[in-house]
Amino acid sequence: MSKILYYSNLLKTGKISSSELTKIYLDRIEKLNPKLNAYIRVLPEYALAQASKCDEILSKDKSSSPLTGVPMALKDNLSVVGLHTTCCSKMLENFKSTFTASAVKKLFDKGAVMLGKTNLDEFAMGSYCNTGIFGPARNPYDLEKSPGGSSGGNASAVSAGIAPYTLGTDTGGSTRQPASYCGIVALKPTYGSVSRYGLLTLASSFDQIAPMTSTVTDCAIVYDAICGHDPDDMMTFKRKYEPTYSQLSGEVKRLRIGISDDFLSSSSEETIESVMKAVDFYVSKGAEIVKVKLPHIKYALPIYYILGCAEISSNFGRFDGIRYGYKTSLQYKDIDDMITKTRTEGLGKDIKRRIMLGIYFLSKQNYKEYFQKASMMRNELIRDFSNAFETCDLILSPTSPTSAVSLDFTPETIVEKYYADACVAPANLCGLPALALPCGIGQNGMPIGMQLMGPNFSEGTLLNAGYAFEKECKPELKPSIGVNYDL
Amino acid sequence: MLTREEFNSIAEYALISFSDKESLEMMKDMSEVINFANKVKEAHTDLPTYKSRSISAEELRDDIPGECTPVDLLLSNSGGGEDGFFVIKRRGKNE
Amino acid sequence: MTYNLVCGFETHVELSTKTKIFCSCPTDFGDEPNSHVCPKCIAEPGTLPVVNKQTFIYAIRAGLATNCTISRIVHFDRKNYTYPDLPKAYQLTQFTEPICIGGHIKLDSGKIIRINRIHLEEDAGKLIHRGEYTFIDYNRGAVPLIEIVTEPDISSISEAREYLEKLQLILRHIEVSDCKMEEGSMRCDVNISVNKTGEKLGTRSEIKNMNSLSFIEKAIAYEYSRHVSAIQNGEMLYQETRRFNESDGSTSAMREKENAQDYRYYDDPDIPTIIIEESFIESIKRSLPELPIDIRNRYLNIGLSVSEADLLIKYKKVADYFSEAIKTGDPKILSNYILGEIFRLLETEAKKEIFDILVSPVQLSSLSNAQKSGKINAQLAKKALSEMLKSGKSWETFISESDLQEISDNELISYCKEAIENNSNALSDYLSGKEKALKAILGYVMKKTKGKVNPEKTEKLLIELITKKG
Repeated sequence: MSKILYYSNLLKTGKISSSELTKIYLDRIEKLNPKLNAYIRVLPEYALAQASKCDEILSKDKSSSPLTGVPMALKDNLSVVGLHTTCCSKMLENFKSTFTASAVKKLFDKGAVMLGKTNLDEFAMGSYCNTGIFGPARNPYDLEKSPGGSSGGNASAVSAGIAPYTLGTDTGGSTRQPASYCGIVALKPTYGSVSRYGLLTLASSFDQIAPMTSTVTDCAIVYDAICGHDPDDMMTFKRKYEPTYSQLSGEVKRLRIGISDDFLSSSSEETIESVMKAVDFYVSKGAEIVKVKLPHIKYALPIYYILGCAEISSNFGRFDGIRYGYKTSLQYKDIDDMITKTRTEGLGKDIKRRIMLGIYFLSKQNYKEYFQKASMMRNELIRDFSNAFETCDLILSPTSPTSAVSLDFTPETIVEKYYADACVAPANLCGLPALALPCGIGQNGMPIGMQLMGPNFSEGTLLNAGYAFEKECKPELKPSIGVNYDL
Repeated sequence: MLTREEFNSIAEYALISFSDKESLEMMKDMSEVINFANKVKEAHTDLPTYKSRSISAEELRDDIPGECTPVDLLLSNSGGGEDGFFVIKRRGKNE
Repeated sequence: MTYNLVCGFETHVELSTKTKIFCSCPTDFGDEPNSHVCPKCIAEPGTLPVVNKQTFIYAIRAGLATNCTISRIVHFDRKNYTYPDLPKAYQLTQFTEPICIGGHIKLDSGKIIRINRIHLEEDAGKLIHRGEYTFIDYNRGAVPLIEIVTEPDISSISEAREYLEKLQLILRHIEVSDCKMEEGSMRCDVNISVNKTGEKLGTRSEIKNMNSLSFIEKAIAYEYSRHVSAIQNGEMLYQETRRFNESDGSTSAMREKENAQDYRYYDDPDIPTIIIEESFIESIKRSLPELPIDIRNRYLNIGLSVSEADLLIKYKKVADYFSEAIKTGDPKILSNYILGEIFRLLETEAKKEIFDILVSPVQLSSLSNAQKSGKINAQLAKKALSEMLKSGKSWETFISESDLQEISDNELISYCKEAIENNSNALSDYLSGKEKALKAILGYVMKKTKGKVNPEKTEKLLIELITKKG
C-alpha cells in the first residue's frame, strides 16, 4: 500500500502533524543510520522548519498534493540551495550549492520535507555504494552486503523504513540495481521527461533523476510531481504529461510482454526462476508473451562505456579548484601543476580511470573508431528497441544477474563488473523508461528484482504493469534491520 | 595495449598525475576496458551518428535579462576571492 | 620573382544581445568584477546551457548581409581544453555545423573576399595578472560571439584593412555589434603565408587576438618579410601560432603547447539539434536594415562624391539621419552641413557615432531648401545652423528672433541706390574701369542689410542701377 497516501491521509485527517511525522523519522534515522550509513547528512533543523510550514498549509488547505508534509531524502548529487552537495567526493566535500535542482524544487513546492542527503558511490560512479568518502552504505537485509550502487544510500533508507521515499539518479542502472538489491521500487524515466538541472552531471545523455520508493503507487505519485518541461534544461520535452497515477488500474489483459534471451543468459538460476514466476503471473492475468530479439544488444555495454566515459571526461574538466571545490595544499610550480595536484588528490580512482578512458576515446586518432562508431551503434540499438516495441508493449527482464553481493566483493576484472549492468544500461543508452520492482526472494532472504522497460513515455504502462504484480504477488520481504511501515 | 606515451599524453590532457605504481595499474585497467570497447570495431552499420532530438529556432530562449548571483555567494565556494575577483596564485601554495 | 602574400582572417565579434548566449545574465557589464555572473557562468556542477534566440537572429543577419547560405540544421559542439578563463573546461562552439556558410565581401576594386563560414560560440572570462596572482572576472564569459572565417583571399595590406573596415561597417549597420576593436568587441586572428604564383600554398603562421588595425598591418608586413627571408635563406618555416609584439612590431613564436592541442570535439549533449525554418530566416531577411554598400551607391547616384559618401555611411546613425533628410532636402547642401558644421561640433568619433543633435532631419532639410532657393545665403545658413544646434530652434525662429528679416526686392533696390549715392569715389573708380571698386559699394549694402542679402544678386542689381544711371 502506498506509503505516501497512507501518511497523507493521516496528515490531512489531523491524526498526526508533519512535524510529528518528521520527528518520528528523525528518531528512526538516529537509531538505525549508524548501522546502515544510508544518510551521509541528516538535517533535523531544516526538515523540521519545512515540516512546520507544511503544518500551516495543511491546516488551511486539505486539497494540497499528497506529498505535502511527507518526509523524503535526496541523493547527495542533487543540489539544494545553501546546502552541501558532496557527491561523496573529496573534491566537493565542502561545496555548497547556490541553487536548487528543478525536480527538487517541484517537490518542495508541493510541500515535501527533506530529512537529509543519502550516500552514493563517489560522483555516482559505481555499483556497490562503497567508493564514497563517507564509507559504504549497507543493505538492510544483510549488513555485510551491498545495497547496490550508485544510489545505495537511497535504497537502504527506503528499504529500512528511514525514508518514506527518495530521489536518486540513474545513469547506467544506478537506481534500479540498488532497488533490486534492497527490495524496493525505482523508476528511471524517459530521458528528457524530468529536468536534469541541478543534478550534478555524470554522463549528460544518460543521466536521469529517478524516484526510489517502497511501492509502485508511490513511484507514480512522485514521478507525476517531478516530470515536465523545464526551461532550464533544453533536453526536456514540451508535451502533455498524462498523470501516471490515474493509469494504475491493475488491468493487464492483452498486455504484450516481450522477453529476450539476451537478458536472461547471464543471470543466476534463482533470478531467472523469480523472473519467470512473474511472467507466469502476467500470463495468468491475460497478458501475452512475445519473444523479442535485440540483434545489437551485445554491443550495448561497450557502447555505453565508450560514450559514458567520453562524456564524463568532458564534464569533469571543470573540477580545477578555482571556482569551487577542493584545492591542493601542496606546493606547485604553475597553474597547471596546481590543477593537476588538486585533481589527483581530490578525485577517486574510478573517476580518474573514466576520465582517462574518455579522453582516449575522444582523441583525434581514436575518435572515428571508438566514439563515432559507438554513436552510430547507439542508433542501431535504438532501432532494435523500436522494432521490438512494435510487437510488444514492454520488455520484462531481470535487473541484476544476482541478488546483492557482499561489500567485500571485488570483481576479478573491471569488465566483469560491467557485465552486471547488462540488463539496466541499455535503457540509459536508448533513453527508455524502465521500472524496477521486487519479484522474488533469493537465498538467505535476499530480494530479487525484475525490470519492465518500455518505449518513450510509456511510464503509465510500466507503472500499471508493476502495480498489477505488486498488488497480488509482492514478495514478503523482511529486512534484518529496519521497521515496517505502519507508524 | 596502451603505450606509455599515449598514457602520458592522456594524463596531461586530464591534468592528473600518477605515481609509477599507479601508472602501471591504471594502464592495465585502461587496456582492459579498451579491449572490451574494441568489440564495437567488429560491428557493421550504415546508420548515421546519433543526433539528439531537435527543436525549432523559434522555441529558443527570449533575450530577456534575468537575475545574477550576488558576488559574495558566487565567491563563497572559492574561499571568498578578492575585491570581487576569483584569485589564483600562479606558483607556490594555496593560501 | 616576387612572393605573393596569402592572408586570411578569423574575426571574433561580440554580439550586442541583451543577455549571454547560454544564460540570462546581462551582457552589458559594469565595472564591478563578477557582477553579471550566475552559476552557469562559473560552471557550477549541475548547470545546463539555455540558448539565446537573439544570437541566432544576429548571426543569421550577419550571414545574410555577407551573402552567406544559412544552414537549416545546426547544433553546438564542445571544444575541450583547460584554461582558467574557461570555467567548463570546454567552449561551446559550432565546429561541424556552422550557422552560415559560403559568403563574401566585395572590395572597392571588385575583388571578392570569400567567407568560408560564420559560427556562434561563447566568449571566455578575463584574466588579470598582477604579481604572483591572477584575478579572474567571468563577466565576459559566455558573451555571444560570431566567428567569421575567410578564405586566404587577401593579397595585400590595403586589402586586409579594407576587408576589416567593410566587415565592421556591415556589422554595425545591421546592428549586431558595435565592432570596436579598441574595446575588444572585435578581435582578429590573422593567418599568413607566402608563395610564388602557380605554386602551392606556403607554410602558414597565425597571429592571434589582434585588436588594432594598425597593428594588424604591421604584423602582416613583418610576417611577410619573415616568411620571404626564411624561404630565400633556405630556413624552415613552421606552422605555428605567434604573438605580436607591440613594442617593436615583430612577432614571436608561442609555447608549443598552444600549437598541438587536440580539442576532442564532439556534439554537446545538453543542447538539442536546432532547426532553422525558412520562415525564421524570411522574417529576419525582411527586417534587415539597408546595407552600407547599397546606401553608398544611393548617395553616389544623387551626386555625392566617394569621400562624402564614405564619411556619411561610416556611422549608421549619421546615415539614417542623412537618408531621412535627403527625402525632402538638398543632398549636397545637407552633406556640407553634416560633414562641416555638425561634425565640427561633434568633436570626437564617439560623439559622431551617437549623433545626438537637437536638430531633426526635417528641420535640417528645410534649412537646406531655404539656402538652395536663395531665401537665405550660405553665411546666414551657417549662422542659423549653429544656433539650431545650440538651442534646437527652427531656422525660421532664429531668423525672426535676431531681427534678420528678409529684405524685399524693393528694400534692396533702395539700399543699393543709397550705397551708390554714398560711395561716389568708389563709383567713379568703377566707372573708370576699376571693376574691383564695385566691391566697396557692395560692402556698404551688405553692412546695411546685416549680411542678409545674396551678394551675387546684389552685385548684379548694383551694376544694373549704375548702368541705368549712367
